[in-house]
Amino acid sequence: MRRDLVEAASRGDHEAFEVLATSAGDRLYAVARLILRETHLAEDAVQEALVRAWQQLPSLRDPDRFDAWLYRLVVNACADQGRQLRRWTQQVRPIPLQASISDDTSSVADREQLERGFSRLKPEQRAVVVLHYYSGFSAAEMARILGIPEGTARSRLHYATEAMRAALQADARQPAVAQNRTA
Amino acid sequence: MATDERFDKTISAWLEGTAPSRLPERVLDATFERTRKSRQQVGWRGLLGRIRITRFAPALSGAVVVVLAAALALSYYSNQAGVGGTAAAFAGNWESTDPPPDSSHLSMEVIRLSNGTYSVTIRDDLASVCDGVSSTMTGVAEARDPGRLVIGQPAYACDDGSKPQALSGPPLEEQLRNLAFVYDFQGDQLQDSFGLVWSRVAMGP
Repeated sequence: MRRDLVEAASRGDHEAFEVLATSAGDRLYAVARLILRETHLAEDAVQEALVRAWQQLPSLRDPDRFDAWLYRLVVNACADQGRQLRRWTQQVRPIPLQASISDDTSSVADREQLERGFSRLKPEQRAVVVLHYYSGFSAAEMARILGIPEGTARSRLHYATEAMRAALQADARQPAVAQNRTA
Repeated sequence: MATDERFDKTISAWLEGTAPSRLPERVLDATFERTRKSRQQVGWRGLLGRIRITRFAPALSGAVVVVLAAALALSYYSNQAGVGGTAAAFAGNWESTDPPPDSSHLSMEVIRLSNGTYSVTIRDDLASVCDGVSSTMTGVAEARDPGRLVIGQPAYACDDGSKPQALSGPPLEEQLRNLAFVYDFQGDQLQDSFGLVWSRVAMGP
């Protein structure tokens, strides 16, 4: 059914494409906003990715790769938006996203440290963190989505995870340092 | 120190906690407004997909036979001493396909200039280094050895005006420097420095 829709859309069927885009919209938006941490840029990234998907769909050889290809387009669009974000953050300090639901993260301090650690990552590292920890893709799947060697996907994920762990550990050390100073 | 598993769960929980639930409908509306006005980029693969093969099968197979015969004759002709030779062999239109995951279509036009060099234009319909948009690479090539065409410094541009960026390794300019094509007389094919094999595109009637 889905394959039929992709094939129809690649032959120029607008309705088929709109069904596909609507069903993918929420998860693409979640990925984009988690990578960019900014609502309007994420909306723009999703829109750009979907427009590119429509335009380039006839060149997609395997309709079964449509979903992975969409993720790739949205990650690339996030990279484009990220370049704008870097210019923008030189003038405006971004506001961290508020948790929409209560999560299992142990404390507000943890969330802030994760946010800070994540914001220091490069766009390509953010992408693997989100694709792995949020979307649940393995390193091999991420490699196929992003068009990079599996080893590169693993190393990006490793470096990004270590950077975020370091951010949390730095936070954990601060109270201990403060206690030692007051003792 | 948190264990790996606990830390993984912490990151997952944090991401799930901050992920938005729905894409605003106005974004989809704006997207569809653009796609309805936008034309799809139909390459040769797309065109083939739109042709009803059953109807065109006899004509298509006939055309393939004619093209193959022409290619064989051209290959034999270009191998004759003093007739055409390597210089003539490079000129023409070529095509190739990027390896997966791009699997994009590449076309190349090689024109022999009066001073003995070649003008080369390569088009990629989906370039990773351009975030998936099409790209054009141009350059002047020299036949440095018999059967070897080299572009000293190709100029690579994304068709949407964005700057191409290498996905890994040294900068793109370095990776493309001295891009070479080796001619295979037997198969009338070119193989470039990246291992891509280029086939000659048969000329129309």
